[in-house]
Amino acid sequence: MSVAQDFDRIFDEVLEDILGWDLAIGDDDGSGTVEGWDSLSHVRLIHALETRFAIRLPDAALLDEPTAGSLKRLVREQLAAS
Amino acid sequence: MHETATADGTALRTTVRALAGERRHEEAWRLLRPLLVGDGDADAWELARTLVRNGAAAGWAPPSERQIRLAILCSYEGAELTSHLQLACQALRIDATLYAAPFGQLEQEVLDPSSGLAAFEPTHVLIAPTAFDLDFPQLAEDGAQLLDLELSRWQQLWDGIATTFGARVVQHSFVVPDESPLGHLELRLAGSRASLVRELNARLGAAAGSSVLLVDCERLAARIGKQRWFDPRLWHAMRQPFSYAALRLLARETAAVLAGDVGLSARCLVLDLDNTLWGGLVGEEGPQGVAVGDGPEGEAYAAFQEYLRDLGRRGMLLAVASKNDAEAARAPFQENPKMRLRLDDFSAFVADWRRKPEQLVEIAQKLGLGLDALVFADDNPAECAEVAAALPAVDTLVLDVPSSELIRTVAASLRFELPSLTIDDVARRSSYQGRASAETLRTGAASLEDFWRSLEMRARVEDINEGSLERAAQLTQKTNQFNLTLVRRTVDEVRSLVAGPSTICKTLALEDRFAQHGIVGLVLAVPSPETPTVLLLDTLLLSCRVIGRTAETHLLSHVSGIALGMGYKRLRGSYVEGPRNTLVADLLPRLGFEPATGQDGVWDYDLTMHGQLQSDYIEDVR
Repeated sequence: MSVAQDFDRIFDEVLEDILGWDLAIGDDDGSGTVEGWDSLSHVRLIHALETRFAIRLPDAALLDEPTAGSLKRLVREQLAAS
Repeated sequence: MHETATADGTALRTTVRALAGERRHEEAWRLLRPLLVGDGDADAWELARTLVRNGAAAGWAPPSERQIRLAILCSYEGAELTSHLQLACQALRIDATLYAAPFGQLEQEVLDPSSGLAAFEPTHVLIAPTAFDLDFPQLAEDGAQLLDLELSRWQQLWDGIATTFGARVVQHSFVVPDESPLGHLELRLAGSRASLVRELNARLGAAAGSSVLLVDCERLAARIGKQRWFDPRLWHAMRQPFSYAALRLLARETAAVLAGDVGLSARCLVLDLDNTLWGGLVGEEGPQGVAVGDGPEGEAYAAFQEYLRDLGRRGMLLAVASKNDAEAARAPFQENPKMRLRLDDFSAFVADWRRKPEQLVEIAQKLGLGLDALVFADDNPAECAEVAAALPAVDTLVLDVPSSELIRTVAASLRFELPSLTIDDVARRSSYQGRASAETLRTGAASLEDFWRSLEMRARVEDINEGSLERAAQLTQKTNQFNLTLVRRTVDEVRSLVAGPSTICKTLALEDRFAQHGIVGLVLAVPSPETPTVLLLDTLLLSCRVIGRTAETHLLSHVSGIALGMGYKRLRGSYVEGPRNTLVADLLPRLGFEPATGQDGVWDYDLTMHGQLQSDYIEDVR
């Protein structure tokens, strides 16, 4: 499995573990469209992503209202910078 | 908020999700529950949380033994604590119906008859504040008054909850803030914030008595480190002060205190023997050959036994379930003086060749306990797995850890919380009395001689035997400070010295009123090849923890007495200088040795003229 596929798989796993196993979350989905993506689970999500990818995201990421796609880009940037 | 992920999380996730997909939630829960009760990471908690949510949709809930109605009064955003606590309660078989009050509304919720709390009718109320809530300045002039005010604030809440709702109060104690502009000065100033927080915790503890349950957050924060405990990013972003590691720990330990209160704590710890209470197999090594008491491994097992003994004195029943011949299993307790646990420390002792689940059922019957009151600890994961499969009510502790980690592993278990304890509950044995430290004694003693006497030292000086060979060789290898000659010996070399003609080879084990130190002294003495009436000190050493206690005099007292009886006329020794042993440079003259005539650096003790050396502060035990 390529590194890129690995990244997508892990990212999706983290999202599903926190938001629900039965959800199909697309890149454009976010707190507005996914039930259960509230401020509490969002902070959990940030923490879980930081843990799984061993990065630290900007403090502002806690309060943003991103989509799955924009969050994925943010993690990628941080991985590239680290 | 930073943690590192575990590598094996993926396999567990795959298994759990597959089981949940087949509606086998119960099996998935059995995989996850030990991780929640133990030290599971964030992945395990997220999996468990999602499993429970997924299971609820399919009509499944984790099995429980007790139901409580728990109200949570947080001074901060408590949603995460509430969520973690729910899961931790489920892991400890408590079905908790939760009410999370709006945060920061502590007094209002308790005092207002129309509050959500009043409508909820709690059985338990958790008061969860932090040190941010305390009205303490950096440095107070009127500290005593501020303390009284804070104490009465919390006590009024306790009283209000008890009288209005008849509910049990659980309170989180305060964590002394780590960062302080005053630095180390804090400790010296009674009015500093840190001093006041510490004092408040102590006074809350005293005021709690047996009616209020406290969770010692200061202890928990210290365990994982205060920099890991408090997460300033989460605090500033969402008014939630704890890192996720801290949330898990706080939830687990709070649930453990609740479990103790509703009678779900374990009553009996059932222990395996070989490689659990001592190193090695007693069936092969014999009662004297098992590792306990001496050497790093033996000391770790001795310390573990002492921890268990204290757990027993606190009221936990101890039992043995061992696959061994009954006689062999008992022999170390009866014959090996280095064992800290004795047979009468155990309420039940089962050693035969049946399967462990059968042994556990017999123990439960003997003690009149339900199986869920037992916790089974064994170094063999397969035995634990067999018990877990056959008797799901019995929690297992897998002790497949290095012996040095045994105490921590058992201490981390959540099943041993006591709701209350009075001093009368604790057996008052002799070793419990006079627990002043040796340091206190030292300052209280008028002279060094008084100090030595007050230690009540007892020694066991013995010929080196098969049981002590290894320790003797190890001492020659590792002792760098109190070591006269720095001669390093292998086990085989020591063995052949011991077997040689007219040698005197002794170990010294020391105990005092505080501790048993095990074998901490060694002397190897051989006849001089030139002059057979001269006994040469090949090796004389002491472990550093017993330096300055006259143990060397005691060893040489034995040697000189025996040498006289064997017809020797002189003891002879030389100091060999090394990088760290200068403290024994003048040892021989201090002990009464004189320069040998015509030989530079060689010292003689004239046995015929001076007789046996006197040892005044250490008694012999047999």
